Amino acid sequence: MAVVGIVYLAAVTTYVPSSSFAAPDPLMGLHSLWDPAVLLFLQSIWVGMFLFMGRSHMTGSVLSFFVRKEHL
Amino acid sequence: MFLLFRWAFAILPREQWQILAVLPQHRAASNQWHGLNLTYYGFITASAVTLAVGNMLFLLGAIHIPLSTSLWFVLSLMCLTVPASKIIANVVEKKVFTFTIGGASFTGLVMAPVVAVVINRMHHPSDALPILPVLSALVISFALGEGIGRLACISYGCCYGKPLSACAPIMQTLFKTLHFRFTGATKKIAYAGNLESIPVVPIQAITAIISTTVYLIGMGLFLTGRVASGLFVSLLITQVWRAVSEPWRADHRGHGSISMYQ
Repeated sequence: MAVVGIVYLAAVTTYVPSSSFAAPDPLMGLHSLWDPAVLLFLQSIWVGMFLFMGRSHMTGSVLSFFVRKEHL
Repeated sequence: MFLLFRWAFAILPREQWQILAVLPQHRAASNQWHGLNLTYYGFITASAVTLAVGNMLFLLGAIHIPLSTSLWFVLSLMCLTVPASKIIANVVEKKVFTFTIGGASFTGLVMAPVVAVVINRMHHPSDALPILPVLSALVISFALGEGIGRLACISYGCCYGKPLSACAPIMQTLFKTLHFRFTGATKKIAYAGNLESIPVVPIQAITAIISTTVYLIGMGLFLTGRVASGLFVSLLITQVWRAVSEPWRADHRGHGSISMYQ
């Protein structure tokens, strides 16, 4: 996969017609992040990825709860 | 970043850094509950992906791509790569509950130009995604995601390296003090590799350092207008490392002497 990925992207960038784009402007990039839609989008990604990747299917656990009688 | 890695490499192999929280789900015996374990793997991976996506949006914004176009591109690509991380692991490793970063990244690389072309057909030509800088931003951001994301592997004890005792003498000398020693019976290296408390090649740490260094170089190249150089430097180093580092890994990578991931 890694080798195929390199060859594939090299081919794509060679054969796909190049189009013009603006010179990179870091301030413009930072400004584009300061948008409620972006912040909500990033938060949603974090929550979605955590729910997808963070729930362990390979490990289990047993819990027990008790009253700490010395604190009564 | 140096301080984060130094801290993470020291503590994440320990037993207590695998499970982040446990949610009681349903009763077992009296006074006991079966729990759902929430992992640091998920916490770190979610953070890594979010940082990578944020970086991608930053780079696309820096070249004046409209926000709606960028969001559509990222969302479409994630809808393909996230399920692919599970499906490809299932096909290659024949395991249902495993994820593969290599498979997800391959899917992303292959599908990114296709997704960009489809989105360009849906938008006005003035809002079109220029393929070369978009691919460059994607590969550079992926390097950041993989750099941080490998810390998740250390916490879960997956994607582990070979035991030092099985390595060449030069490797044993090189990693005499800089090895990982995972503890905890529920770490993958323990239950799948039988290598608990055994010094192993810190392959996840090496990948994290290489990927993060590549990210910094790529960002420098991209933001100074050399987007093609940023793409190829990031692509070549991350993918060549993925291919050449496989012999130093001890986890199951499918059958055959050359793995599908290479």
